[in-house]
Amino acid sequence: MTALNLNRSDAGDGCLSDLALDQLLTGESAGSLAEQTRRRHLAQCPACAARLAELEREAAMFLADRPRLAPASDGASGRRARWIAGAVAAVAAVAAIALFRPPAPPSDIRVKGSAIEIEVFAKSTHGRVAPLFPGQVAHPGDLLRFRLTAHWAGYAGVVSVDGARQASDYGSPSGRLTALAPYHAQLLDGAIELDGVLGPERLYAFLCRDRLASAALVRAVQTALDARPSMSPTAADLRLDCALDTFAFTKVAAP
Amino acid sequence: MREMGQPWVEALYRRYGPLVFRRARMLLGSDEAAWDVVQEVFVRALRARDGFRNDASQTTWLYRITTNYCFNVTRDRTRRQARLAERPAEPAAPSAAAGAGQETQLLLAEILEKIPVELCEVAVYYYVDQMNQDEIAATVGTSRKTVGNRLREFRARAQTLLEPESEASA
Repeated sequence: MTALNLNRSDAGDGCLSDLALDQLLTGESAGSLAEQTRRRHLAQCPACAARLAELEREAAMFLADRPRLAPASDGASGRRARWIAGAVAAVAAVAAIALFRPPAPPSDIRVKGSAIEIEVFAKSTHGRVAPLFPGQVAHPGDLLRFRLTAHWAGYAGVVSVDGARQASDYGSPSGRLTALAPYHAQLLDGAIELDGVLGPERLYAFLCRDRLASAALVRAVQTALDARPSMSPTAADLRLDCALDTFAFTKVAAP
Repeated sequence: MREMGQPWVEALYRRYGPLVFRRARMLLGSDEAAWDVVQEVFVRALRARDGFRNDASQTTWLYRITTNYCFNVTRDRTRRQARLAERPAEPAAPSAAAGAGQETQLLLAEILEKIPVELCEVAVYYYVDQMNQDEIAATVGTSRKTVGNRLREFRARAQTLLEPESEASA
């Protein structure tokens, strides 16, 4: 296992990372000082110039082989046809999110991935409803709702760890986990109003074989947190026979 | 609704699809799995369309979401394989270019079970992507000092994981 060379020098060699090269390729850094600096480096560094050419070749190959965003009348495979349907349906789903009632997505959007997946929707104190995406910010007083998609039948719950490293139950008003059917996006009952504890917050969505009490999940997360206060618990730390998805956002004071 | 339709999707996909695919293939080790990640990541991007458009760097946003989604896929595979009484890894259709990715995937599966995800994410950016610490800080949305601390912590934990293998191969 040599894929990670732990001896990499912190000083680096001054070469451009793939991130920097991707930002050049996508035109995202166009006209910026960063782009000028990178172009100057490329002019003097055969290794980086070769890597950029390699990325350009790979992009061209991808685009030549890519699924088309059009009806699959040109021989696209079944799996890729599902991508087409999924992309178009997702656009419609975003546009339709209103009244805090996210619609269920078409069942063919998801093919593989985590056994449990969490989506979060936030309603601001001004009444605006929008999907909350990982890494985005929410504010005290916002209402959150959760939509879970399972890949096997089981029981689901959501535990939050707030900026004060306190675990709490976010997804089980009844105190028991919610039964989920496979491949059916289910909006959990109830909404959670965010309190005033600011800072990074992480949600843990569980899919378990048994219908546990939600308190058992909270206890498992809190125990793992207390054991290693500076780290987020891993699946191994939690010692639960449950699939796990995580979702991080940041709670900041309302502007 | 018309302005949110296929032309925008097509443009987004042409511009960013290659990097998402390349990244997923590197982390998951197969073209098949990478295509599925491309699908999922773009569905997520479309759902979060406003946030995606307003993000300072859509490339760093996609790096992050792809990385974390691949972590989830890896964790899930590991769990499934454990339930199947340690049968060999599920068959995939590897490409020649994905060979290094399979090696990375094996290592990822091991470390994700034992090392916190914050450390794994920073380590992948540093050791696999060869980003510098400033780039990682911008991608993750934290300070350079925190990145340095997480890398040190990761190194310490990873050395412990890798030691038995080093002894066995000596």
